[in-house]
Amino acid sequence: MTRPTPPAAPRPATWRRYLRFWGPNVGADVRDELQFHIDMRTREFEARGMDPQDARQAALARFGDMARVDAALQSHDRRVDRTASVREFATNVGADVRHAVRALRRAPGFATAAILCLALGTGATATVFAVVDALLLQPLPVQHPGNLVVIATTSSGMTLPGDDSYQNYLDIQGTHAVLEDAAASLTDAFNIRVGNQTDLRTVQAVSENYWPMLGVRPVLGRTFTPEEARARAPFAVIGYRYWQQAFGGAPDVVGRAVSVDGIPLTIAGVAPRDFTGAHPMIIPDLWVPVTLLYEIDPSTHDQMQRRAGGGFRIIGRLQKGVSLATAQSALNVLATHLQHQYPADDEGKRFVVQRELRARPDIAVSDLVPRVAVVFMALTTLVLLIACANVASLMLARANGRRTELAVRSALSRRRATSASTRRSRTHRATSSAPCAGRHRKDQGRVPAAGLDLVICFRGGNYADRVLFVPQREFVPRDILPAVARP
Amino acid sequence: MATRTGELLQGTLGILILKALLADSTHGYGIARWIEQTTRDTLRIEEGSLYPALRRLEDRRLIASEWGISDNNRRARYYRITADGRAHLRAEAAAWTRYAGAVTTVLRAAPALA
Repeated sequence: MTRPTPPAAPRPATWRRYLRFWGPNVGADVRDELQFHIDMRTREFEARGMDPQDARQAALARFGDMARVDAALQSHDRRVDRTASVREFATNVGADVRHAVRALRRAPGFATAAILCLALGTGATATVFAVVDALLLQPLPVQHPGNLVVIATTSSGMTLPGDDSYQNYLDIQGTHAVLEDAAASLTDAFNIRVGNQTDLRTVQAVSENYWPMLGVRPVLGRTFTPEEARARAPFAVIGYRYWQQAFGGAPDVVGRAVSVDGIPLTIAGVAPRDFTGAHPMIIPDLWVPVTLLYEIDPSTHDQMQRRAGGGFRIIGRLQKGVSLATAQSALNVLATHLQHQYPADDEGKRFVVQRELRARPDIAVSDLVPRVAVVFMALTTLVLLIACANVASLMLARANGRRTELAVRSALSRRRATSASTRRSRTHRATSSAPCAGRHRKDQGRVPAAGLDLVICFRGGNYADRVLFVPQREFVPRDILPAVARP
Repeated sequence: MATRTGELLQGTLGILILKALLADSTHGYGIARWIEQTTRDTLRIEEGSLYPALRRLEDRRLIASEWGISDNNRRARYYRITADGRAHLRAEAAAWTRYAGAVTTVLRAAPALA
């Protein structure tokens, strides 16, 4: 019989390389192998004088259960391929990390560029995501944040929902059929004096039930009670950040005196670190009972009595089992009632109730948030993609420069260039990218894209193998080998 | 013929494959053809079990495979015998010859077959 010539390097059609992005195609290989067998047998039968149709039938009959063998071979080959790549990966990682560090030290310019690119890309994405997360996604660190709602007001002249007056707040708080409770807060800047130092700080004047309603426990001391607030006891709660900044985190801060616009107050407690008020964009330094507001700022006297105007942000808790729609209709009834009763102040007033998480960052603009957030996330993801693409093209450019080195490496290697050795150099490239990515990722705790660029690198490297390096055997003239082998 | 030798081949298919690859590396069809031609069609291996058997031998590193181009310019998977395979074949062939000799001796012992 005729013996085939020793196998030459396979030469698949050029375009087929692009199909192998996800690694070897086990199914196609098994089909090719069995089809080859059938074709050869058919040719043999034809040579003996059978007509082509019969020859093919006979060849298939001779083979037996083709589908069963095909399936068995495929599952076997998949298993082998998997264990082989896992074993190879495990044994190569150590050497590859060393190789990667060496290679990066050899090319500090390239390393710096790649690190900067990836740092900018992941840094920007992580920053935007951190802001979005804190501002829009994290529930307030209070008891049962799920049933918190924000209640805002629109009046005839205003299209965007906003704050309301204290008197209207009291009526809203009274809708116990739908609201368990509601608290109001007015935010303003006042001069706070501690010892000899005075600076302008954010102060929130809150309704007497503010702390019990939210169920926030102070880290130090206590919060003021509704009874104290009603009795106008001069107590204040300070924010964690302000405690650190103005008091250096002094443990004996409780009981110390501060003055707000000249009114002396005693510090009752310190709010926990993660609680920065019920509004995601405002970080109060000091909370005072709203009953003290008149003393601190006499000009607010009218504001407290009138129903017109605003200033107070209202946050409430839904009664158990009450839906947003029910609460909304109860508030509609209240609004109509107020319009009739106080036509001068409350004309055209309506209430809008929204879940607290949906009223971010402020109820006036929260309708736009999903669209804006999508645009921003898309933009930053693009930045990350551009960074990856930059590094990829840098690596491609460098790999192009290393063609000779790679060709010599693979020519000297005992194994075929197209099989295991490229897989190894692919692992090289993936691990070369890892230290780059690792340096700046240390302090980025929550980076959802952490593994992604490694995947892109790995698969992209695989892809580059097939596109760039398949013909590498041709780049080495045969006579270079002895010259290289000689010391 | 094929059915009657089927059982016998189960145990010996590995040895036959290794022996076929001893002279030169070839593809699955080449192995089947070589065995048929060498035994003048006395032994016909079951093709459905040939390829699984090749995988088993490869798993035991007695043979190795790689893709190549056949003499009619087709992409084909070529198998070659490894050093381990040669050692295994020597041991198995010796055992087989001893076994076959023993069976022959028994069959030739008196009383002669009718």
